[in-house]
Amino acid sequence: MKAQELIDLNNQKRELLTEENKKYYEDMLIYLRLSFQKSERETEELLNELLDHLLEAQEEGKDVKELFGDNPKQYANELLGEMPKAMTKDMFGLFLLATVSFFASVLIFTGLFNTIAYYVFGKGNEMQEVFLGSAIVESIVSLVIAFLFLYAVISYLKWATFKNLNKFLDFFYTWLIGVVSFGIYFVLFYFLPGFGPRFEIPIYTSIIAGVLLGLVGYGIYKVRGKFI
Amino acid sequence: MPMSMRSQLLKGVLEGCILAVIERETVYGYELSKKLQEYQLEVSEGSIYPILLRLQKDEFIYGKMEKSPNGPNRKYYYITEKGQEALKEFMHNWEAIKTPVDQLMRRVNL
Repeated sequence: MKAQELIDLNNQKRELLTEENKKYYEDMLIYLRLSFQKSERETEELLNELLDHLLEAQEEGKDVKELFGDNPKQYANELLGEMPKAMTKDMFGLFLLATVSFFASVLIFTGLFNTIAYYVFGKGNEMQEVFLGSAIVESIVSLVIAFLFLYAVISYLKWATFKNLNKFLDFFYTWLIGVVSFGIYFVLFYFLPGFGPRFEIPIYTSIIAGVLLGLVGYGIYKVRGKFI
Repeated sequence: MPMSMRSQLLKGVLEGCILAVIERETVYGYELSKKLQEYQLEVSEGSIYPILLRLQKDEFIYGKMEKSPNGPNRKYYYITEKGQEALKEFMHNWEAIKTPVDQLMRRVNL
């Protein structure tokens, strides 16, 4: 069975859990799925197995804590400690997919923004200036920041999973991660001068490039799904 | 006894017992915990999963998703040749340690 089929199956079966069991199980599910260094299929197989066991135990009237213990985080870490690492090619596929999706969304977003600003509100220019040198540096730097941001978010979510944080703290931490990442991004770009060969392209070009890149990303996603 | 020592000791023994069950018949997780309970092995049911993962990592067993007779897909476990070797070694070690430990413990007056 492929990872995606297991995920669909899990979604259906999870609905049969009682409220208390569901909360406990879903915390564990989030925590394990966020551990992206582990093989996706192995993780889903394990989650499916634990869910089946929990459903049987539920029928017998047993408590989820009798099954997996009082400390779900410790139990989840114990499981993770015994799991094989994802293969390099799976990790590479994930990295490629994330990179392509990131650039596709940035291109589509900035292209749409500039195009609407010019054609609807009459702001900006019809042509956009691109400096090849600084464009490459900006792309690399923004990719690194995006990955650091993603890493921070995942680490935060893992840390927060088994804690019952109140809404305010939860919001505050997420806000903090966002502001810090955006701050670094902004400072770097504001002070980076344009250098390298200069081109002028119509502002809608980046929408087209973004859509094409998005299609490539969708292709990678489909191919990857067949192997995982 | 400190918790870690207790759990280390228990894990090692439980590994051997799980191999012994899987060697006799293929089982899935829930079924395995029932079998262990039949032998009055008092372990929390969840503790079999980290061990099953480790046995798979060591290639002593392998899991296969299969349709079960009454419905859903389940992961059934099979022993490998390497696992059979490991089980033999466990039996050997267990035989060697069982009697002396028993004798020592019988002399304890607590």
